[in-house]
Amino acid sequence: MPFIPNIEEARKKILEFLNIKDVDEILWVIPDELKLKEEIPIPYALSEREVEKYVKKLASENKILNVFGGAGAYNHYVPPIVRFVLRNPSFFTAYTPYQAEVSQGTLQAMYEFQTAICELTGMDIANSSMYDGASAFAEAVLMAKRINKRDKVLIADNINLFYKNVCQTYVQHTLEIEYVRYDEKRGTVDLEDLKEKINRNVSAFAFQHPNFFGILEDPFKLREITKEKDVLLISIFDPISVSLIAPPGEYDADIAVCEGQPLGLPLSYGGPYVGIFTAKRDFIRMMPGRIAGRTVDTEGKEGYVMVLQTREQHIRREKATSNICTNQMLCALAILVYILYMGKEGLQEVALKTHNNTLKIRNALKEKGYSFPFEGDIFREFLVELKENAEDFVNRCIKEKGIMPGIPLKKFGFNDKYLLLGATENHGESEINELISLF
Amino acid sequence: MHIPEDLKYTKEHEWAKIEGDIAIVGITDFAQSELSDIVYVEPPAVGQEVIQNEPCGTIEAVKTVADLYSPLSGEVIEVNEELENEPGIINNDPYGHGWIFKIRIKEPEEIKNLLSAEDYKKHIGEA
Repeated sequence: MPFIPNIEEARKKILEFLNIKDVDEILWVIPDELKLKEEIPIPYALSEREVEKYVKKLASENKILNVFGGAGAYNHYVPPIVRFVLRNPSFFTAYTPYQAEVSQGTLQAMYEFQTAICELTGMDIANSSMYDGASAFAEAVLMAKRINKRDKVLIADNINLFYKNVCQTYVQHTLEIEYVRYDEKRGTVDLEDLKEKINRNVSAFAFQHPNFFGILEDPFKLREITKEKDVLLISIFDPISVSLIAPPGEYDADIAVCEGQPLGLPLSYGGPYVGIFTAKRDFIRMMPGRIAGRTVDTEGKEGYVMVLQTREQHIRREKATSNICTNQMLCALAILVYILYMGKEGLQEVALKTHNNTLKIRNALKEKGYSFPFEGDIFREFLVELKENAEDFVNRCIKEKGIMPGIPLKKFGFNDKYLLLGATENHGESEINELISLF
Repeated sequence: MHIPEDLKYTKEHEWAKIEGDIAIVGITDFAQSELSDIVYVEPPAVGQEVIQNEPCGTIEAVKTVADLYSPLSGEVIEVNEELENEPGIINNDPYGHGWIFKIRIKEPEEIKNLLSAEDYKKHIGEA
């Protein structure tokens, strides 16, 4: 059987049936200027060996940079065991099983992932992952509306602009969004502005911790303010930070989400990434996505199944809880292996070294006379004001030294001299000193 | 199939027991047997205004989730809190302990839109 079953003979029959001579007779609606006039210039087929050589040559042109930029994706070390487990064909080929229960190993991995995430965050329940941090955030906002049926959400203005944009796209027809200002001096949520805007018609207040500028918020205070008005608290957390500072379960967040990339996924051309999604137990039926559960079969043997599927699209159709009917299984598996391999102490060490290396850079820049737009305490990155355009500076460092010294914040809507940067445990002393020497 | 004579019914398989200006609402024996094991009930909230023939909650069984329709318009004055921990009561006693919510009837003339036990029997093909 041909891959495209539309063979000449079949085409002829169709044309005869339709009583036309040429397919163009029914494609007249397509404007002429959009039609292809000549063959697409695809080179002649290459042999496997030739393709390999060609692709290797292309790959060798990639420049591997030493990255000090973050803004949501971070340069942490990925132990080789992560890739080793991922490449096991039993996982690799069964990553999205359509008959889920047949792939017991995949389901068990999902279940273990959920358990590991709950332990890491201190939250009651986790699903088996979402597309990425930003879409997990947008789903959290929609979930809050499902819980208390209120039509307005407050979002801290100092969260990642890309998260705001994704959320806006998701909820624009369902919810009103109002942004809460941040304190111009500290860079943290302006509590007075929050108190002014919050009321019992607000579904949820969402904040990022540490926020987009790298500064730590006061989640306990934010919880206090939201609780007074019976408003849900949505936290966008940093999955490395929670081994060092209070995780969302500790400050009683209702829903907590994040980008999972720092936990064992490399920085490579924007993806694939993975969203982590957690909530309080009471809200389990409002949660989007897939959840794996553990049970026993008729013989009493342990087994794993998809649970709470009755709320999903294949059963509820247009009334489904969410449109997420898949998860990022391979990425979630990478996270699971990373967490298990690092262990509690390993994760704490990563967080602490990340913090100390970043502080070292900040202190050195302070000595060199640089100024910082905000005063608040930082965890893993900070904002510095350069004496020149930050994009020019970054491009120069990449070109001349192979170092990406940070993220210029112009495209996030800020001053073109602002640079957001930080180190991780993955940066050695000499690399950090080299970065400092560039300023 | 048990279909008590003194109740009113909807085509969506809810029953209503009318006591003055109050209606007690649940789902029929036929509905519970079609759904099989009920694992979760999401009733309307106390104080919520419900409208005749419009969805006001959900009933989740092992294999599906069904909408719960209100047989009459009115304000919800009570929900059966026992269902929160033991939704299976609906399977065992759909017309008694398995009641779901009570409303204060707003439009008494809507009652005539409901089915009698005889009509409901025909509706599910039992007559």
